[in-house]
Amino acid sequence: MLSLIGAGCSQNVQVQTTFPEPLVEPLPVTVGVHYTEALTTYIYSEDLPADGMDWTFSLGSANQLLFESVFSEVFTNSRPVDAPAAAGVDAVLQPNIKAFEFSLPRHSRSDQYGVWISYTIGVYGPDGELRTSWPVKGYGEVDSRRFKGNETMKQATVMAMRDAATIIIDSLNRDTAFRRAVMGGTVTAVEAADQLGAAPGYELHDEGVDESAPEVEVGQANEEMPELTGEEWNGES
Amino acid sequence: MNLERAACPRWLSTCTVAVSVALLGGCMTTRVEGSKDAATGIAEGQSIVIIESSYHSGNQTEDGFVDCVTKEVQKGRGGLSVYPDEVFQDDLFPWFEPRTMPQGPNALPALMERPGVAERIRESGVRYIVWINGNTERTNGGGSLSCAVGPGGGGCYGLAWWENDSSYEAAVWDIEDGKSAGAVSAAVHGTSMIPAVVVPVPLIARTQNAACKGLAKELRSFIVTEEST
Repeated sequence: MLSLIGAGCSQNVQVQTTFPEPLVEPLPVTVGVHYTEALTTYIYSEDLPADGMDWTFSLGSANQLLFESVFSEVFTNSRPVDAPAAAGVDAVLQPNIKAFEFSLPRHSRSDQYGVWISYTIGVYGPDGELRTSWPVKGYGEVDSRRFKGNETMKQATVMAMRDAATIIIDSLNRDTAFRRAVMGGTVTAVEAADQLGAAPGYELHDEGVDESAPEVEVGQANEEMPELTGEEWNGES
Repeated sequence: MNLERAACPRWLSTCTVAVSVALLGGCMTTRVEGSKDAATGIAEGQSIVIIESSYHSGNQTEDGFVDCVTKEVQKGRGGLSVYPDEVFQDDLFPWFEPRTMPQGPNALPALMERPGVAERIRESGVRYIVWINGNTERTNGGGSLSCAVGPGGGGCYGLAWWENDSSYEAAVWDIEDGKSAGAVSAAVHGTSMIPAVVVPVPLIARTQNAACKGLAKELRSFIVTEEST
């Protein structure tokens, strides 16, 4: 009996969803998309002893669906490729998850479940040379009274993924280093450093974003975002 | 337009307590207001969409409140046609996501110029976007209530009370004219209590529900009534 009480419980968040087609004018480029196994099988687990609960998030297939949905509409042509170097394309994109965080209502002292997902989109030339690595941080929150069980956390995860897609689309709609790298241009070290400082994930409504996103006390990132040097951003590392 | 009323049950002042009052609510004061910037009106085949303002701007409207207003404005004869908000956001992805949704009516012209947006909105038949802001907060509370169970039975004694404030605003944008049509608001203050002499009798002031009904009724009248006030 005691062992049953001490065992706590597990929450498995299986993110299986589809994403809407973006309503955008496609960029006139052909891109290859390299889906790594790390992305397509991504699972994040964290034990919260204080809550007597461990959480597991399975995002793998949803990640691929997300990027397929975005890239198929924002470029005139996109196709999956086996490696960052590929023939017949203007650029190869390689999305990865760099960090995953979440918060429960108790942690944010609100009624919201929150999820943060940090992606990076590596942009390579057809020869496999890294042009830039673009950080994208999506945030989603959902009212804890909206759904039952771990459905709320699942919806918050979907919101974070949609937010990441929104940032990517917006970055490609404006004159950003990300867009220039995809279109075959170069990114200078100064531009890259400016973008790091500007935190592209928070560009659109930057006056309100940081305040609305509650501080996280638990659900720490499983992998810290590395400090990138200007040379790495410039694809010279 | 302005409507204020107190909804306190008369029996409360005479301290008559009976089990049947458990079905009755606590004491509430409701204030509903509307302010028009332009003439409104809605034609056959046109609809509205009701969207919660972005959490990126600090808004914390409960999802259930938006659902309630959506349901209420469609009710009965003369109910408005409401386009599902999730379908609308998917149709126009990513321009109505929390990060990108327009922050004021001034952003409407630029939004409508984006490729495909005006056509997609026209196809949906949506004439007005209604943005919901606000929330319900517990502002005060006190008293004490204790319950005990023994071999001969159980019971509760005491009085617990609390106050809730529900304050919401619905900003109405006319997509056809590309500008604000005005706003309606509902503010409800309510006191709930649980007096107990053996049997606890919960007298709950459902402020959020009252705000939902008040706002929805006013919103419906605001949109349907054509003249500008």
